[in-house]
Amino acid sequence: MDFLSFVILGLGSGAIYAAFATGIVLVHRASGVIHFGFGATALFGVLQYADLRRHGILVLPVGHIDLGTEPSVALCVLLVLAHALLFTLLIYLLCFAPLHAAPPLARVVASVGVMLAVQALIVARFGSAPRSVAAILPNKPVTVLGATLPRDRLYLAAVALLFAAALHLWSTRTRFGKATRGAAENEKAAILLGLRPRWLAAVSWLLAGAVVTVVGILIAPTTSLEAGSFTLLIVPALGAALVGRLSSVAVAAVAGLVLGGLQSGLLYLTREFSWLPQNGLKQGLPFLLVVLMLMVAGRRLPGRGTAQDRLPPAPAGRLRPVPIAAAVAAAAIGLPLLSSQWRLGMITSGVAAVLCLSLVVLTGFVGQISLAQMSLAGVAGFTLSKVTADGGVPFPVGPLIAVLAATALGLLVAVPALRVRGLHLAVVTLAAAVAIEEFIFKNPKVTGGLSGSTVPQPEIFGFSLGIRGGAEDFPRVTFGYFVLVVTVATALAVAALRRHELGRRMLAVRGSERAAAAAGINAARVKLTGAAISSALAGVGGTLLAYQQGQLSYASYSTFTSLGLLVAVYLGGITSVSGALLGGTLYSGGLVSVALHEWAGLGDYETLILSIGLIIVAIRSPDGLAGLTRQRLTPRLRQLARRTTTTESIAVAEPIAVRESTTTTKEVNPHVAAG
Amino acid sequence: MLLRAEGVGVAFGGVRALDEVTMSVAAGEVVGLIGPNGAGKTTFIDAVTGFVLATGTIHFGDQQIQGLPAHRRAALGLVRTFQHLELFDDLSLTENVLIGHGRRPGGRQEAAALLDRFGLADHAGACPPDLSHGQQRLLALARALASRPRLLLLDEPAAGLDSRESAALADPIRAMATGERAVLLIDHDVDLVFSVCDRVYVLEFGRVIAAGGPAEVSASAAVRAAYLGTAGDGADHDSADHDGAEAGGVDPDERQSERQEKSP
Repeated sequence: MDFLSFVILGLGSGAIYAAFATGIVLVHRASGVIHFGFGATALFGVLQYADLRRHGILVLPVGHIDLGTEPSVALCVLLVLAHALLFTLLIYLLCFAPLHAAPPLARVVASVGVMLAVQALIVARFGSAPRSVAAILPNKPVTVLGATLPRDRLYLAAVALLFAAALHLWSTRTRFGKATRGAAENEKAAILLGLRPRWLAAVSWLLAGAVVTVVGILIAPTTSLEAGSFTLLIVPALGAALVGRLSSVAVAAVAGLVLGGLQSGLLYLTREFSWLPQNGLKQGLPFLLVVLMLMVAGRRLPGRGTAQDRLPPAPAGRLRPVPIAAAVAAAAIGLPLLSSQWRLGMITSGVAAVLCLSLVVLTGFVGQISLAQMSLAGVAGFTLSKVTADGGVPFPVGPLIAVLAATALGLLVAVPALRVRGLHLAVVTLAAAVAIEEFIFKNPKVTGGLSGSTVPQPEIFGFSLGIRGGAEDFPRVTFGYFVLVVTVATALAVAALRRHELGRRMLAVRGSERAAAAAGINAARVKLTGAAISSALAGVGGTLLAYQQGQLSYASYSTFTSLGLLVAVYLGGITSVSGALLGGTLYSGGLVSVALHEWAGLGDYETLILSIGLIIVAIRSPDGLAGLTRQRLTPRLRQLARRTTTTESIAVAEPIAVRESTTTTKEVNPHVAAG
Repeated sequence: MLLRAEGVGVAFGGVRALDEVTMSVAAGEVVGLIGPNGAGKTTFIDAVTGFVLATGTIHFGDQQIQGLPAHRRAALGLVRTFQHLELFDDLSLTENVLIGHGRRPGGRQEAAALLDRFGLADHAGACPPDLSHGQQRLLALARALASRPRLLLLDEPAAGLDSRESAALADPIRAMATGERAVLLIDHDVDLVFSVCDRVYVLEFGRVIAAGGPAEVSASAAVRAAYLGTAGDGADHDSADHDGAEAGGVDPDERQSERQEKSP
């Protein structure tokens, strides 16, 4: 086998990248959403097909239908396709149609929510037993340019290209396709022309769903159907879609095929040349592609802040010492009294709260999106293991080095972010998360192979702060106090940052980069500072998590945990410290998790419940749960305040000539002249 | 001269938004910049303040500032406002002004004084979306002043205000140009511009078509042609002006009569 055979073998995964990229482009063009969930929805269809073919049972999201016989391939495909179309339509109508004018963050978060929800649904409905699918396309060997290969790869590539070509013609040549593109660009104008943008978008979603499902089923015999890895095939597909500038189906599909071929070719090269890194090159390629494309296409001049880019407000709440002290005291008293399960839940919540705070700074204050926060935490964790277990560095210094390592990596990831915004930033960071996971966390040289990475318990002046050991029950209360102190300290620090001049500058950059620049603020520097602070917080959280676990596994820092963290903090409220603390309790293993297990017996559905909650919050209340309480409370407080001040304000209203008459001016002249 | 812009050009694709524009502002001056929609007024401010790539040379004080990023120019004292205000909606009024103030000490007192000066002190803790349109315009001015401008570039401070409100801006704007400070004022309210400016430049299609004192400029035939259109090409200008985005009438005479009708 030589290089070329490997490249052609790679056309199999290339076909699925091409199909996903086609779907991403179609849907993005029609409704402005980057849908991360195609991998998950496609996998749902594939598993449905596998069970239908083997047992004659059609598994639905709820319940199943037993057909009694073993249906033919064609019938299976038809049934699965019909279900996939309904499923896709439902996703569009319930999750994305209401978000058509929402800020990018809400759309990203909803997209992540759908991806996680479908994936959780897959685990709940199909379990994790491996499945294999009998070949569908003829795979007799064929000799191409001297290499003997199964011919189905060529068929797969042809099918993917055919779909892309048909859709390309549809969108560029037919009136319907043009109308869809027009409606996406200017919804108002489209409505005035008598088009129905929602309906047009729905058709695009259906087409995308069909392509993804059909190609998914065709490729199933040649690939692993493991939920996590299949779902993340979306990342290379995102790279391909970006090559097509999220607008050309044809370019995106070809890029997907080429990428699949190249990845496979790289595999050959790593086998031939032992000095090449053996891990992560394959996943590094799409990341490089994504970054390169966005750097080339990104803008350098200060961007025009549009109203749509708004994030929920980040209130500079007054620090109220009494409630804070009461909450801390309650936690401190509760820790030793709780059962070990609840105590562990509380510890996990505290650690997760620190991680959530890192997103509050980055997203809530600076307005940047990151889907790679747990990767930074993981780098801190593995660094900690290296320097303390292997290097023997003592307690306060080891974690410090680990935090610095996370900060350095965070800054590195933030540099491309300077030229990339919103949806695109989500893509870059997702690709970075996958690359870091493959390149570092799954690299036996870093993680210590089978023996794993151990983290010695923290100890200061001979006094153990660790989670286990001594006569105390697991988890040790002392470790709980250690986490509590760190959590409270970081929370207060972030609250202080919001009120500090630097925090103001961050919010200014978030609000309008142009106006910030006009006020002498170096937006790039503020963003980098924000990234550094955020990565340091992620590093602190990562070291705490490492101490909590004692033995590191990449699973606790995987890409999906980053997504889970975003879910938690967004649900809690991504713009406030209180939101982060709430988010901590919502994180996997946190207090809410424990409650679901202990009280409701719904532990298996935790991710599903939280993801659906996330989608609802993204649509209904972008401020999260913390914001919801504020929204309910503050209007009432304001009403009260207004009643008391109206009498005073009448007296001062008179001297300001501008105040009263402006409402009428506004009505007559809604726009401001363009110079 | 505080600001010397020589041969400034900006092109958007094939469109020349500014073509060899030469303009200067001296300390203590209020200089007006008027012209029909699309003449390139805002683009000129963008070019001077670093928000758009421009050719030509621009000197601020003794310093050549071409190539400096926007925030560095702002730090030098070239401070602008925006037509669409671009207030920081998530920050309170005080914080908005503090952003302009930067890292110099004594920000809180100065911010309070500025808000008071513009009659916004009662709303110091509120956020910009809670203000009326006119108050938002005043806040934008306060924020710009907090940056200690040496040259303040005002992009349509009176847009969306009626003639009474707009006239009330004249004194504050005049007061901003004292000593070492100067103001470059863009507005569609020609009354306002002619009443406060020492000198006025008129732009049309990216070129300076007239410059001089208010009386001189308002008498200029070229200016009247640009605004009213001559018999030959009047239709073109009409369609360009009637895009529904005009803040106030552009015809000086029309404004005048409107004003007389309103005054008791």
